[in-house]
Amino acid sequence: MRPFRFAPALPATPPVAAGDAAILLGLATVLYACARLAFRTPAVIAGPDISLAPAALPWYALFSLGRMAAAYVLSLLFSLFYGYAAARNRAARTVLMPLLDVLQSVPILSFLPVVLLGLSAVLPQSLAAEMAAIVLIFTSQAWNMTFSFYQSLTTIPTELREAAAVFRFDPWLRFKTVELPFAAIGLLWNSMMSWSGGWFFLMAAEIFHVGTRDFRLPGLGAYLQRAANEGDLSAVALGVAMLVGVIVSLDQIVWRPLIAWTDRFKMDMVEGDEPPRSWFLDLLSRSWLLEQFGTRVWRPFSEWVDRSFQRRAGGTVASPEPAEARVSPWAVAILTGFVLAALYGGYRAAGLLARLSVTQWLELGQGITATFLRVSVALAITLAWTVPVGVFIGTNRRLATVLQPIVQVVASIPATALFPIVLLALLKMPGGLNLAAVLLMLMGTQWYLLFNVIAGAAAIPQDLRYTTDLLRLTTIDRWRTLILPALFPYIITGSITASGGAWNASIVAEYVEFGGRTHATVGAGALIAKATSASDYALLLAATLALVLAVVLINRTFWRRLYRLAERRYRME
Amino acid sequence: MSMSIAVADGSENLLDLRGVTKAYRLEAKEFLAIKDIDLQIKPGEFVCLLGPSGCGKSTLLRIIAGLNAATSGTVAYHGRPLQGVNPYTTIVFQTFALYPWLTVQQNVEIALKARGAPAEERTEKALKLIDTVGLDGFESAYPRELSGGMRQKVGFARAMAVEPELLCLDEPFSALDVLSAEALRGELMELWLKKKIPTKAILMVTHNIEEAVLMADRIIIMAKDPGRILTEIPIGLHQPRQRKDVAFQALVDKVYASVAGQSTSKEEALGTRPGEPGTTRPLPRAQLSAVAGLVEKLVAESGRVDLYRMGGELVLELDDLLPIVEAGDLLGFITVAEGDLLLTPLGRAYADATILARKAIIAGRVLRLPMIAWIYETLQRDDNGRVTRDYFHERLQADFGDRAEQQLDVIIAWGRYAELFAYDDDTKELYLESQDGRTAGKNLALSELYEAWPVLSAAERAEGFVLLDREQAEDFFLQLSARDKAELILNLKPGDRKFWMRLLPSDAVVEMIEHAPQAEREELLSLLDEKTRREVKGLMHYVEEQTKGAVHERYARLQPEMTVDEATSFLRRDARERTQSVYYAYVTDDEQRLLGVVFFRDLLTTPGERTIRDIMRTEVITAPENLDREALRKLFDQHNLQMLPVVDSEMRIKRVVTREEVVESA
Repeated sequence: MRPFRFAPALPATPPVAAGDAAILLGLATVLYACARLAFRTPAVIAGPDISLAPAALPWYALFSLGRMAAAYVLSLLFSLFYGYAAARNRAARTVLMPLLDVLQSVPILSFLPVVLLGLSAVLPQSLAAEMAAIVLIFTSQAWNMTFSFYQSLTTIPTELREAAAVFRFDPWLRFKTVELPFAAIGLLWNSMMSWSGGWFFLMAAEIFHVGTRDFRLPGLGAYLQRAANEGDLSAVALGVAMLVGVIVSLDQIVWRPLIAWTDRFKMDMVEGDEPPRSWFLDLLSRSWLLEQFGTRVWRPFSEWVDRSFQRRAGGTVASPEPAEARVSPWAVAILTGFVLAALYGGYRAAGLLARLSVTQWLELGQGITATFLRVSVALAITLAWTVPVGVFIGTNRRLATVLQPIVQVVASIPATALFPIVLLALLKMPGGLNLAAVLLMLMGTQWYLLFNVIAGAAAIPQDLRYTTDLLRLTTIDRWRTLILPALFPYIITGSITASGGAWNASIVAEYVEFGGRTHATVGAGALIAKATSASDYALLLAATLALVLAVVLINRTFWRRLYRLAERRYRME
Repeated sequence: MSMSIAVADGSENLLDLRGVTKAYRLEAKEFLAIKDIDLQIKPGEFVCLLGPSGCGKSTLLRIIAGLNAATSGTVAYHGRPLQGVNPYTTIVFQTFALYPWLTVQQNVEIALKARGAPAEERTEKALKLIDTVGLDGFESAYPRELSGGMRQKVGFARAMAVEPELLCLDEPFSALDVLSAEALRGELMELWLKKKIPTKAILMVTHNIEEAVLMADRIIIMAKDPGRILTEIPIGLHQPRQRKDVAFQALVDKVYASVAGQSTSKEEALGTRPGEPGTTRPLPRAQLSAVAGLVEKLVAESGRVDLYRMGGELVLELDDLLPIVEAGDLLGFITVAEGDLLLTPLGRAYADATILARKAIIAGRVLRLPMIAWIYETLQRDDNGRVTRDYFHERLQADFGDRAEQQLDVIIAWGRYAELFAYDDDTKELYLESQDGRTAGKNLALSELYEAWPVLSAAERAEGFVLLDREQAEDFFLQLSARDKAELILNLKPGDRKFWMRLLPSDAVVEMIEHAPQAEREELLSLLDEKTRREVKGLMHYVEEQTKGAVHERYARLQPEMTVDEATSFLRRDARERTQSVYYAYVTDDEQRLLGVVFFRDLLTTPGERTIRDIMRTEVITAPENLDREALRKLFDQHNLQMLPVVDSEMRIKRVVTREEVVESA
C-alpha cells in the first residue's frame, strides 16, 4: 500500500532501475525462445519420442507451461462470462448454477478419451492431443474460479452498486471499477488453486493411451514418466528439480506480485498489519520503462476503451439489480437446443448402458466400494497426521515462519509427477499398486487439510487459549473443549476438497502402464481407465456416471451436513 | 461539466410524489414498505425524512433517486414522470460507498468520467472539489487511510462533482464520531446556505432528531407498519441555529413527542393472536434486560425523565431507544407522555423486587402478550412440549412476511428471559422449560381455589395461591376482600409480600392495613416503597386524627409545624372533598399571618419527616388591600400567577383574588 505523504517523495529512483533490466531480460528470453521454435526446432524435442537429455528439459518445461497458460486463459474468460451471465440474469442463473455444480463433480480424467478421440477425428494427431490436454486442464481449472467470480458479483455491497447506478456508470465502467476489482482477490486465490490442480492433471495427460493409440506430448510430465519407466533416477531427479523450479519461480514472479498488488482491492477499511509484499513487484514498480508504458500507452488506450464503451452504451445506466427473469428468444432457442441435445444424448446413453451385462454392473459396484474404501483410508491417514502437525505449526508462530515456505514448496509438486517414482519403488511389493494408489491420493490431498488445519489453529483466539491454560485442563480435555471444536470448520472444508481430489486421483492411481506392463487393481478409477484403454464406451459411460453419482451423493448427504453443522455451531464469531 | 437543465423558476415543485406505494411480495402475501406517500419538494428547501428504523425512509429516498421503482403512484421530477435512475440527483451514503481501491481523486473523478467528461476537465474539477471539502493534500490517499469524517468528505465531493439539483443524503453523519459529524454538518450548511454549490434542494434521511432540527427547513415524520408520512413539522428558526436555544429545544421536544408517541399507540394495545382476526402487534426488537436497565434508570431519576435527555445520557440513538421504551410500555412498566418517560407503579414494584420475584413479574407480563401466550399454549398442548420453529414461522409469516424470522427471534429471546420456554438451536425446536406437570396443573388450581377458598385455612390459601400463574394470581388477589388480602399477604413468604402490597393503590392499602391485626401493621407498612408509605401513613393519620390545617374553598392552609407527610395526606384528603382544584398551599401561623407558600412539587420530593417550615418559600407575591384592578392585573401578568393573596398591613390573609376575577371584571 502506498503511504500517503504530505511532501513530495524524494526523487531517489535512477532513470533506469533494476526493474528495467529484469523486463529487458525477460523480453529477450521470450523472443529467443520464439525465434528458435519458429525457425529451427531443437533436434532433441522434434521427434515424437521423449528425450531424456538434460538439454531438452527447459524446452519441455516451456511446452508444459504454454499448455497451462493457454488453458488458464480459457478458464479465466469462461469464468468471467459464465459468472457474469449467472449473476446478472435471474433466468440464466436458474440454469447455469446447478449445471456448474454438476460439472464440478464430474471426474475430469474420464472425459479425456472422448475429447481426444473426438478431436483426433478432425485434427492432426499432435494438435488433437495438444487441444485435448488443454481442454482437460481447463476442466480442472474453470469451475472453482467461476464459482468465486459469481459469488463475488453477488456479494458486492449494495451501496457500492447503488453508487454506481446513481453516478450513472455504464455497464463497462461498472465492470471495470466495481465488479472486477471486488472479485479480484477471490479470483486470484482461486487461480492459484486452479494452477496447482492443472499441474496435477497435466502430468497425467501428457502421455495417454486410448485403445492401441498412444498420444504423447512433449512436456515435463511425459519426461518424468519416461524417466521413471526406464528407471533413470538421475533424469527423474532432474525432471522433478525442473518442475519445482518452474513452480517456485512462477510463485515468485507471478503469484506473489499479484497477491501484493491485489491487496488494494480488499474491502476492509483498515490498513492490514502486514500487507503482503513481493520483491519482484517492488522491482517492477521502480521501473522507468513500465512507468512510460503506463502513461504513454496504457492510459490512453484504456481511456479510449472506456470512451468507446460509453458511446456504445449511449447513456444507459447499469441497473443496480440483476436483470429480471426476462427471457430473450435467443436464450430460449439455445436452451431448447441444449435440452434436445441432452435428451438425445440421454437416449443414446441409455441405449449404451443397456448393453452392459449384469456382471459388469456388479463389477462396477465392487469398484466403487473399493475406491470408496481407498479414499476413506487416505483421508483417515491424512487426518491422523495433519491435525497434530498442523496444530503444532499453527500455534507456534516461530515454527510457522520457518516451516510454512518449505511445506508450500513440497505441496506445490503435483502428486502425479511423483507417481511414476512411487510406482518404481512400490510395484514390486505385494499389493503394491493398492498401496501406491492410496499413497497417490494421500500425496494429492493431504496438503489441503494441512493448510486448513494450520490456518484454523492460528485463528484460535489468544484469550481462549489463555483461558484453557488458566483452567488447567488436561491435554485430552484441552483438545476436546478447545482445539477440535475450533478446528472443526477448517477440517471439514479441507476434507471436502481432499475427498473430491482423492476420487479424481483414483483414475490415475488404480490402473497404470508401467515398464511396458499394465498394472490394475479393483476400483472405479481402474474400470474407467480400463474401459478407456479397451475403447469400451458403454463401460466408460457407466463407470463415469457411477463415479459422479457416488461423489455427488457423498457430498450431499455427508459433507454438506457436516459443513452446515460447522457453519452453525463452530464458527469463531 | 455541468448538467444543462431547463427549470421553471418560482414555486414549481422540483419533486412531486403522489400516492407512492412500494410493495413487495413474499409467497402469496403482499407487504407494504411504504404506503400512499405524498411529498413535494420545492427549490431552496432542505427537507428531512425522520422516523424509526423500518419506516421505509431509505426506500423512499431510493425511489426518488430512481434506484427502485414504486409499485404504484407517480414520481414526477420537474413535472415529468421519472424513468430509471434520476439524472438530477445523487446520494451521499451512510457507509460512504467509496471504492476502496481508488484514491480520493480517482473516487471523485470516476463520477465525472461516467458522465463523459474528458480527462483534463475531470482532474481539474476533482482537485478543486477536494480542495473545497478541505482534503487538499490527500488526493492520492486511499479511503482506508482516511478517518470516517474525511471519507464522508470524499463522499460529498463526489456527489457535488456531478452538480445534482437534488442532493439526497442517506444518514450521512450516522457512521461518524460525534465531533466529525458536527464539523461536517457545519461545513455542509455553510456550502448550502451561502450557495457555494449549485444544489437546488436537499433531502436528508436521518433518525437523529437534533440533527434534523438543526439543518432542515421542514421535517417529515414517518411511521412504520406500513411506512407512511405521519406529520410534517416546519422549522422556522433562523440559521445558524443554536442547540442551547430555548426555541430549538422546544422544537426538539416536539419532534421527539411526535416520533415517540406513535410507537406506543394505546389503541392497538396488545393486538390479537396470530391467525385470529385483527392485527397481531409485532414485538419491538428490544432485549428485556435493556428494559430492566431502563426501569432502573427511571427509578434513579425518581420516576420521570425527558425521553430526549434519556437518549442522550444513555448514548442511545432514537432507533435503539424507542424499541426498549415500546417494550417497557407493552409490559406495563413505563408510559410515555408528552416526550417524557414515566415509571408506572408496576414498574416501581418490579424495580424493588427480588431477582426471583422479578422473573415472576416478567413471566406474568410477557404471558399477557397474545403472541407469546399463543406460543406458550401451543407448546403446552404438545405432548412433549416441543414444537418446531418452522411451525410458528409459517404461521407468523401470514402477519409479518419476511420479518417473521426476526419476530420469532424476539419471541424466543423474551420467552427465554421470562423462563417460559426455551429454544434448541440444533433441532430448531421451541420447548417448555419445565416438564414436571406443574405448569399444566396451574389452570386447574384457579377454579379449585375459587371454590375451596371459604373453607381453606390461611396457610392452605397461601399454598394454593402461589400455584397460580402470575396473571391469574393478580386478578385473583385484586378481587379479594381487604381482610382476606391482609391475611393472605401475611401468610406469604416474606420475599413475595412486597410485590403484592405494591400492586394495590394506596387507599386499598389503607383499607387492608386497617383490617390487619395491630401487631402486623408496622410490618405491612414497611413493605411499601417510601412514597406510598408516606401517603398511606398520611391517609391513616387523617382518618384517625383531627386535622391541624383549615379548609378554604380556593386555597389550602398549612401550618409550619406540620410534617411533609401530614401535609400531603391532608391535602389529598382535602382535595377529594372540594369541587374546585387548589392551586396553592399557603402557610399561616395561628393569627392567620402569611408565612410562606409551599409548592406541591416540593412536597412530593422531600422526605416525609421534614416540616413545612423547612420547605416553604417565604418570598410570596402578595397584594395590598387597597390595590386597584389595573395594578392587580399588572401584577398577575408580571409574575404569571393564577392567584394572589390579599393581605393587610400585618400580612394577615384577607382573601384571595384569582386571575379570572381580575380579567372578567375588566
